[in-house]
Amino acid sequence: MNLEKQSTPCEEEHNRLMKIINFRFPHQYKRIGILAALSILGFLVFYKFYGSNELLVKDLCRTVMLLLLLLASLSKDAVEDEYIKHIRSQSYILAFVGATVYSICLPLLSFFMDLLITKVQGDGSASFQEVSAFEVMFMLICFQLLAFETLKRFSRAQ
Amino acid sequence: MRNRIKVERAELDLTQEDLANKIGVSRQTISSIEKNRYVPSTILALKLSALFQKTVNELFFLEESD
Repeated sequence: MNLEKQSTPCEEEHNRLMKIINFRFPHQYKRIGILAALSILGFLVFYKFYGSNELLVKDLCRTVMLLLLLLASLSKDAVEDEYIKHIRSQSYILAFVGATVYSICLPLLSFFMDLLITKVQGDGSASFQEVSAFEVMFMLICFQLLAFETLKRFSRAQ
Repeated sequence: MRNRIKVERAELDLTQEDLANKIGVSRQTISSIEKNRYVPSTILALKLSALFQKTVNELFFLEESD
């Protein structure tokens, strides 16, 4: 009789999911991701003022920048132990909440500012501007990276 | 939850860095456990138990609030 434990399809699916969740790039990719993303951000600022207004270039740069930030976010720390994993999961929670609050508050803030200004100017118009998907994703990953480094700094300062 | 890691470490005359190297974690992890800011996993608790040759119950205790 074969006594070897057979994994059920549910367990196999769970294992596959855990593999995806626990996947991390090597540590050096973190620096590469952040530096390359900052270079692209610098290029985008330069391009806004001195380049042509080509939307394709902007969209391409934004997408690459998000991918590079994601690479940094998914990279291992110098010493990747369970405490670092714990801090990382906390940073994702903080980032999720932060980005959600940002995407709700910014259009509201912009709307109320519009209202105040239009009241002063008296042109009678106020717009409710939506936050773009890029902006939300950018803030989400930046919040995560900042929260992770801040939580790590707290543990060092103890 | 409280623990006696700091006391046990002092008895063996180990620094946080030494202990961290022995069980394969970072110094911050040891520091956070000692300050009761982080509750280690069962795996890490068993590693600490083996290193100090004490049972897990002798190293970690529940508090009233737990």
